[in-house]
Amino acid sequence: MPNSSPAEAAALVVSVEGLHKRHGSRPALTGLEFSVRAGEIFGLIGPDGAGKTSTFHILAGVSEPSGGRVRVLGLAPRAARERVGYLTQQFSQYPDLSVEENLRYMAGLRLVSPEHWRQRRGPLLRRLGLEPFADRLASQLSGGMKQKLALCCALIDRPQLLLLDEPTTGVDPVSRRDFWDVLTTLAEEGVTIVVATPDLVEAERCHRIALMQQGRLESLGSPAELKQELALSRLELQGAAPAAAEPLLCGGAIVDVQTFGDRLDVLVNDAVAGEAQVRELFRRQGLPLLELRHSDPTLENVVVIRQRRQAGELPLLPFPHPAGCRHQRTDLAIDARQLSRRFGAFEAVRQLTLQIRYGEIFGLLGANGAGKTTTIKMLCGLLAPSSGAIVLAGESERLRGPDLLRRIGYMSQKFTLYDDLSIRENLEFYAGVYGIPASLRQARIDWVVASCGLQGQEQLLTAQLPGGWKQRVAFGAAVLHDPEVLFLDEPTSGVDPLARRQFWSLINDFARRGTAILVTTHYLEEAEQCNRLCFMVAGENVIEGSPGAIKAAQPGQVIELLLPPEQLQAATLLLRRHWAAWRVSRFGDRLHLVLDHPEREIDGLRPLLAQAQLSLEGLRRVPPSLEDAFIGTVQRAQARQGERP
Amino acid sequence: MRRVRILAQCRKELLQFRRDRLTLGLAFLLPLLTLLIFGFAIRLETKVIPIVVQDFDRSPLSAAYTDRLFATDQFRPAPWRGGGDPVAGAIDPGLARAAVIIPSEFSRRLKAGQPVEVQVLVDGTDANNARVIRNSIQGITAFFGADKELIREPPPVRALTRLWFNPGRKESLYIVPGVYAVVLWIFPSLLAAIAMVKEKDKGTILQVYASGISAAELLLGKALAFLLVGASVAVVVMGLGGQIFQLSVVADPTPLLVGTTLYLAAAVLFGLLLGVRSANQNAAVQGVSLVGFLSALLLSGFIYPLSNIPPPLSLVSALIPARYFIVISRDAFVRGTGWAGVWLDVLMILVLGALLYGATLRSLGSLQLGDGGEGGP
Amino acid sequence: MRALRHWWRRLSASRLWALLRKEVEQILRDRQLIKLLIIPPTLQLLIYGFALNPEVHNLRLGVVDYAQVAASRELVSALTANRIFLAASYPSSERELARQVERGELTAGLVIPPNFNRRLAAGDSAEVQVFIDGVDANSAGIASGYIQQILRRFRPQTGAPPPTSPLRTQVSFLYNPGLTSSWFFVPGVIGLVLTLIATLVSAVTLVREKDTGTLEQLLMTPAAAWEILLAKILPLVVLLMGDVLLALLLGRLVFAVPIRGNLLLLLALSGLYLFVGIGVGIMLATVCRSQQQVMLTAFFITLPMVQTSGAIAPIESMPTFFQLLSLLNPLRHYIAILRGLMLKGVGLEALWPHALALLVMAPLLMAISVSRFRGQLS
Repeated sequence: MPNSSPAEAAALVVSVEGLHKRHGSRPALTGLEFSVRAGEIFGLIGPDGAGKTSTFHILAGVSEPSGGRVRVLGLAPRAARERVGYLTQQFSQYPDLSVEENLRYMAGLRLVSPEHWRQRRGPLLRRLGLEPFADRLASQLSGGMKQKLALCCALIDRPQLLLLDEPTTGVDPVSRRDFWDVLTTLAEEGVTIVVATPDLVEAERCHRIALMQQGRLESLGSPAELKQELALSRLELQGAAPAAAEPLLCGGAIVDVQTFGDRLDVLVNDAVAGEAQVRELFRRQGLPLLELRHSDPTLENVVVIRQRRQAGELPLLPFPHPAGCRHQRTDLAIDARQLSRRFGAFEAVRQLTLQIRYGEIFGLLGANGAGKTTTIKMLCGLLAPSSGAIVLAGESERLRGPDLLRRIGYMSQKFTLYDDLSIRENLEFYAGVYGIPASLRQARIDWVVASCGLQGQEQLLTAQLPGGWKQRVAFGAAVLHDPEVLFLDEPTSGVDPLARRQFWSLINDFARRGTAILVTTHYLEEAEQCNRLCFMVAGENVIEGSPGAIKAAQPGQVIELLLPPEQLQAATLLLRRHWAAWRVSRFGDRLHLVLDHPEREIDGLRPLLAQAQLSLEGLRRVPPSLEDAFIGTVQRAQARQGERP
Repeated sequence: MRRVRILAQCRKELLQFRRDRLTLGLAFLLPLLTLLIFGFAIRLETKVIPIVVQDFDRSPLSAAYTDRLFATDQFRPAPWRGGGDPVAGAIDPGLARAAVIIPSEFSRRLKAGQPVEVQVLVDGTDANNARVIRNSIQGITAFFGADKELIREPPPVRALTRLWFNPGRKESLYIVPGVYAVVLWIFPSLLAAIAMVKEKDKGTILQVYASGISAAELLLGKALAFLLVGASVAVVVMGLGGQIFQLSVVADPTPLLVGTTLYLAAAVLFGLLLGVRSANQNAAVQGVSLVGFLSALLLSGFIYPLSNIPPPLSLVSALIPARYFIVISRDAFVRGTGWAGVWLDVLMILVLGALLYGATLRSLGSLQLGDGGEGGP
Repeated sequence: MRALRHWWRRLSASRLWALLRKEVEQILRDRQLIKLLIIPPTLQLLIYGFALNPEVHNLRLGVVDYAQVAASRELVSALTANRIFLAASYPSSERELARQVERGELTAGLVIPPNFNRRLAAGDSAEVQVFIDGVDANSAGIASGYIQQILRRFRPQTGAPPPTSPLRTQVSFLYNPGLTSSWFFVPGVIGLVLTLIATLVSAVTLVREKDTGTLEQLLMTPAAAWEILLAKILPLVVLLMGDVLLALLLGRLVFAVPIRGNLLLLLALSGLYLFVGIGVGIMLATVCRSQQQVMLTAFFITLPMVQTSGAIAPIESMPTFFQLLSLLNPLRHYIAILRGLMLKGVGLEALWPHALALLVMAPLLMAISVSRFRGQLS
């Protein structure tokens, strides 16, 4: 490396200068510029199509840059391959091989000597909790375990650099947390990690992050720096009536408002002025306000605000509903009782009962493989349940009758537009099969095109759209016929945060007009937007209720601890020695501790941390998040099962 | 080149192969099925051909002539009764392949030594069999004439014909060794092609690319695995084929052993080449089934002699390993000359195999993603 | 006119129209499909047509002539006169000849004994030895037939004039007087190619919807299963009829195969047969999960179909079991129809059993596969 001193070169594990990459004529990366230091967790953050995977391909030496200079461990990426571990975005272990066989194969390819193999195999499998499953086929592992296997395979050769492309997408929160704990420990042992994630809460655990958008690097820094750069404060309004208050909060110091279930997040230029403005507003309107708290902006705020400053927001256009409002009804749109579905010996859904009213947004949450998609398919008649009864929009017999289907909208998890048709052709096709009267067709298709910001590009082949845009068009196609019941299977996966917000605004708009909506997602923070939700684990309904009720039903009190980022991992380990594991969890850049008797226990907490040279910067009681609720519930259930013989 | 990597690659392929029922069926069941269908159903030579005899004479002599026509198993009376035009009634609808029309006065004129013409109408659609039918009817008529002493003079030259290697003219001796060539070409190459493309489809190829394995190691590992699979297929197919069609090795078995190994290696490399070159499994399977199957079936001399293939195609056929393997296989099971007769064919397979290896290695290139945007953005 | 416009308006607002339009738009964009429809049929037709040639000619003959007289040379020239045999070598001894036949350098051998001329002169029959490589049983049989026939007629010019037998046969070849062998194979291959393509294309277009997940979305629309299927099948039939024309044209232009019967009847029955192929294709689509499986299974369904159809080897020569089995093979009937209409120039009066068989099989297959497909949908 002629440009830098040897010492610098040693410290820089990855250095990227002016990186360009084209796929055919399409630019994938333009002028990327960053470096990663040894022992760092470096996050690549961005929506689908931002260029994260292309960057990984180049760093892993599996594709050549079109321009620029890339050095990995001081070498060209291809030459460094033997010291780099790479987890691809798509699960890329062999599904028809067992855990052990996959690992042995990778060890063979990476020339791990037989002694090393014997030494490392056991401890590695134990560390990732895979030892009891060594003989299980990879295809039979859960999403979380698959990723752990992939990590295992990447670690067998003790790489100095780990490249992880969205390792936790679709993984349940518990496994996700375990996975990140392992990453943190690895980083402390000196392994450098470059990781991509679409989840902005997770991204808080990176040392530094690079925000990417359309192949460009938008900004770079530690999460704290990025938040500081934003120069905004966040006010959390608890107990306000969000629906009534949200439209009022604008102008003055207020930059952005977002509803999270029963909480309102308000971003303000100046904390003091902002608080005064908000309090004044609430007082004037006579709205209740239980609590107002100051806090730092989140990474999500950073991304949304930056994006909005740059590109502006898509217009939120009202759906061209036919004149004369549909009469509001409060009866059940979906009434499913004791649904079960078996595939051979495997029970995908077990005794599930769901009731969803018109005008209600019902969230179905769970990891990949928890049974969400099977449930949706049963509810909309695509899959016959093994047992149980369904009443859908008043029909119980003919779930596949054309009259019923005309009243139902469905957006499946797989991308559902025809790639080889243009956007307009796709929309015209769906308008045609749903028999939308010619008089309404044009207005509705125009609405989809306009609300996706695709005016003038209707002739573009759908295949050429980035993932997030496709999702928006697909949503438009699913609601063209103004359905009474709407099924949305992971509508927001791979969509950037700003577009995700727009999605939810649209969903809310339809719900307000009386459409019953069933939506699945694995973003827990999104679930706050649902009126009611249920968590599924291994085909079973674990918790059900409104977000507020679920959180209220959690035992104990959540204490949020603020520590310097570099001490978080040590603190986690320390606390876990004193409390049950489920009570202690990392939550972004904070620690959450669930205490049954906070009055007594907090007193012991401070000296405990002080003894370990850990500096507690802040401590406060917070209402539990949905993630707290979910992790707590699952782990308590597992603990109970563990107690039983 | 590292042996460890090659073996790791090979072991993995074999493990995967064992787990996948589709490929297992493809490897063992379908070759046997193909062997049976080809072995039993392909009969090029026509026996028991349905013909119609229209006898306008109805004399004892014409009846004797008719009997003579049906005396061998070459012809049988077609299910056609009644008068009228035999062409419209029997040949047009395909009930009979030929009609023999015996004129009235057949007997009277023959006895008087006057010439008689028997009219023979042959369905010419199947040109090959039309010739066979004509030759047989002419032969039978000549024998009938000689028998009834219509010709006073015996033919001056008689031939003592001996058929070598296959005195019973069993067609299975011709077809079955050829089927070995077809089967051992298609299935190993199909399996190898699928295994190669599957890695691309499932994205596992990225992991392989990132692991630092070289193209030659990857190629040899995969080829070795499918060579082993192919060898066991060969043992099963040749073993059962030998039992069912009563074929055994009649010569020095070493040319067959060496030839089969090289041939299987070439087949596997051909499959890998198609797998590397095709963008998806469809294209690979289509490529193997179209290119591989057609060439092994049609341009190899499997059905009709190689010398019948016209020039531009015959050049192509020189590049087809199946053509050389058929010679080796027929020699081992029927002819029995050993190395002296087939060394050139073994050598040709070796040369073609080496070419395929080179081509596959070239297409694997540096084990990187192309710029076509594979693997998505 | 107004009624027409009204009818048009109703049609263009219907679901079926939307489905049809989408299929056509997709087909027009699908280069791979267009390639699949043109390249493999052309290639197969050409290769099969040129490569399958059962004629026996230019067999390499080795001659050991111990007699070395005019009559023996005459015999050799009589054998090689019509190019069935080619005098390729004159080995000095019987052993050398045997060695050459063994190595496959020669296909046949002729040994003329030293006493050949003497016996001819004496008016006795002279005996010559003929060896034929019997590995290719078919060619060997034909070759030995020729030898017998030539020798029967052979009269050395020095001897008596050839006898005239009063009993003669007058052979005429119907339909194919020039005995062009490609005329036999081309209709067979047309049938084979259409079966393969129709099966593949219909299975692939259906499975692709399944594969990409759009079928699920389609099923959630009010479109009925029959509408979805009809919209898929109709454009395919049109495209595949294009393939029929392409195949007929290639047969006509490249191989000069005549079409003597009624072209319209040929096209109509081909259209009927296409439904058999499409039916098999839909069936495959219900069995297979991925396009790759479709390709493989299509390959192995069509293989036995082709082998027992008489496309290559005549049906009469198959074992009885396979002959009976072939009655259930729609391709057999279609090929009989093709040969009948193209070469024989006959009409329905001769072909009605085959047409009837197709008329029964096509709707039956369609019905079974469509109901299976619908069963999978719901």
